[in-house]
Amino acid sequence: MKKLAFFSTQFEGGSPAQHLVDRCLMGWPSEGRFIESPFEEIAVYGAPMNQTLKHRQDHPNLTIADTFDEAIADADAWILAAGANDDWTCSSQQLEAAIKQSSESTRGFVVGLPENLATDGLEQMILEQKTRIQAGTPLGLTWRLPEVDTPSGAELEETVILIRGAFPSAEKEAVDALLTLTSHRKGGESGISNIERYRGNDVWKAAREGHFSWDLFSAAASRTNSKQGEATIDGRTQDIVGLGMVPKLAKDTRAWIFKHNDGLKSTIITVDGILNDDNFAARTKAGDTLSAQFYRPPKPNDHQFSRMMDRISSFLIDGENAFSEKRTLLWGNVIQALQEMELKDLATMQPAFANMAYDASKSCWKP
Amino acid sequence: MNELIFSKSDPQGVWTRRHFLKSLSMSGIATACGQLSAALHFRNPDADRPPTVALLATEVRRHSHAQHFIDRLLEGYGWHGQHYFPKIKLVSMYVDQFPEKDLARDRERRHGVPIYPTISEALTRGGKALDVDGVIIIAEHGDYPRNAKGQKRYPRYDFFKEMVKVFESSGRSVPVFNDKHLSTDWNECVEMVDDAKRLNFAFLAGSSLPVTWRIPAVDIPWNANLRESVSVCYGGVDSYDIHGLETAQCMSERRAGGESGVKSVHAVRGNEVWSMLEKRDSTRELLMAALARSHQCKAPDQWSFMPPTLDWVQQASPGVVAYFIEHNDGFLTTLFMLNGLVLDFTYAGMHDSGKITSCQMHLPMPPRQTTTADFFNPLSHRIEESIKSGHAVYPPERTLLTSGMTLFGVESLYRGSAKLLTPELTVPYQVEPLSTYWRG
Repeated sequence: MKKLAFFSTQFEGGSPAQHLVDRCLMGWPSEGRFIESPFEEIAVYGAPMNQTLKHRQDHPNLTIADTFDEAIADADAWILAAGANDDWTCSSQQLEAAIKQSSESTRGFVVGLPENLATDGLEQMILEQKTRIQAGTPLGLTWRLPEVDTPSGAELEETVILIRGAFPSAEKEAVDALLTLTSHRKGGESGISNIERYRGNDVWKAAREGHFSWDLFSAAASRTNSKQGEATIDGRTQDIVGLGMVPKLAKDTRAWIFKHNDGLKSTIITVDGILNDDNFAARTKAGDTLSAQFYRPPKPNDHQFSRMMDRISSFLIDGENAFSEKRTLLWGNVIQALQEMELKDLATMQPAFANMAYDASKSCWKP
Repeated sequence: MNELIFSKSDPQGVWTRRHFLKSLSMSGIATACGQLSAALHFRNPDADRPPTVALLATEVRRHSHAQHFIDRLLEGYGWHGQHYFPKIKLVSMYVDQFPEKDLARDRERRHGVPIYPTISEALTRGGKALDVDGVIIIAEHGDYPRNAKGQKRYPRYDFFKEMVKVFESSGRSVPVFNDKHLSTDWNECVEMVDDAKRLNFAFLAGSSLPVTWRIPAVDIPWNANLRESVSVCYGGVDSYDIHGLETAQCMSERRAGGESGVKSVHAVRGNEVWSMLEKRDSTRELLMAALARSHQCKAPDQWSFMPPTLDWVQQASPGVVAYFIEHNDGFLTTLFMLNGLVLDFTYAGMHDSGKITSCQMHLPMPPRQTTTADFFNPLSHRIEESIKSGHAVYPPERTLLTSGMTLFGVESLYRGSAKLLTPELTVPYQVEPLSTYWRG
């Protein structure tokens, strides 16, 4: 592929934009070997010059474009990425411009979420555009310990995702990972008809009252290797769930319970203070439970971005269609709904996008 | 639990061809570890109660090996999607040293597991005869002297021999686990395995590397036509080299014909490593394949990651140490300790077809990457399985051989990187087809 346009509004060291640009320049490890970048020219636009970007500007394959038009001119594909650390927000303006200026053969990948996906006409543009677009974060694509996935075509009953971080960044990753785990269930994604929101001790009250499965919480938590509390002091491996320590350790817990139209219940719970990693569990209607840790390799390599480059290049180069556009829209709409619930302090919401459904016949996650 | 079936001991204390032939005759194939015999003589007179174990430790402090094992026995650990409480019961401890931040007394107080003043008393629980169903020896960490070669003389052999005395005086033996390599002296290593055979107890040993998560979850197909293994790791000579060697050996031993033993060990440092590598195309290829599985490979300044070139590998790891090992059947193992470049354990093996199988043996180190170092979970589980069944999940010959590779690697460096012929390391064995690494 000759030219890749790369859009971002920042270029912080350690940000998604930096990790992806570096891999586009230098290559990355994939399935046991180092592969060369398939891109001959990477035209970066949108991020103010800083030391991180400056250090790369002499690379022969990198162009720092002065204008958006210059970056996208003759580009075979584009990537729009969040450029700040711990934030998955991309620019709506850059996305809109990229869509408008893309040809039918151009493909685009969005790493993160535009801030106003559901409200400023972007949604309609994405559905109507001729450019093919996919979007995601590395969490759903990264390695899992163990290497398990929800079986394609399975009837899922309930899932629980345990995630860390601030609102709404953590939720952006968690909802993305949730869709990665569940979209290929029997019938595909059926849409979300109801969202419940809990805060603080109400989360544990909801657990006691059976609003979400404590067994699945426990199964997901068993996959951690970074319990907090006394484990940080003396390394003890205590059963923090069975000993009733979870509510005591929890800090500013948030929980979201999603009811899907086909009966699937999905819960996202923040576990700051409890665990220092991200985990999930799922149960099928047949009663089978699976659980794993979403494994994030250590900094500074952050090789979850190598996994992400595999997905991006499969789409941009080979056209492998892992995510539907509707998935991106559902993701964005859910996050927007959560932000509205947070802003208005709503306990429940029956979202307007309840019928936003799509089919995904196979999983986009690979071992 | 195992009624003692005394056999004639080998007074030489040296692993010889006779050992091999004897083990062949025992099992038909080179199972060579007395496992079959142990299983035949295994008796559990009280099947309803959990087997009891004694743990012999050098020191117990945060993140010492003993703390990891003791806490898993007492507090449980994550296993197959639940918090698992072991079905073996820690009933006594012997602790050799009590450093300033000792946790042994805390565990004794909180869980009511007594610390006895001697190994004998821990094993007999203050009585006259062996009174536990299994023994776990964790002699890693602590203040012990180093010998002239720089090896830390952890008292694994001493603990083991004290234990053997109790077995002998009690007329009974029980399954035993020994953490990491057997000893820093080859004859002592051989003697330990011989004692296990002579006293007919299941003997499991080694590090966490063979049983931890693999990324991706792959194993060498049993009986595969594998011709060469490379392991890349970090850490010190006589400490992390055993981990790297076990990383390679748990894969290599699955090759067609099984393990044949080691013919020579040649350990080199610095530029000599790269000079030797120039002559070995396949080893170079495997080195890069292993590095492609690393998640902690240093990049040049200002870069968070960059695919390494061989030039960069050399530049980033000026203190490189490599063990070039030739096996009796022509198989090659190379261990690279690339301090400065990597902070993890990776493996690549080449099949006769030229195909490469590679993975990372996942060992996230506390406190930076984990609070509980859960790579001890699968090893704890394998210990439990071995104690409950009276059958070592994998043969002690693996650890005997990796101990030997380590010791002769250290010796080779001590002798100015002399290539050492190692007839002593003719330790043939074969493992069972079942993979034992963590994947569920």
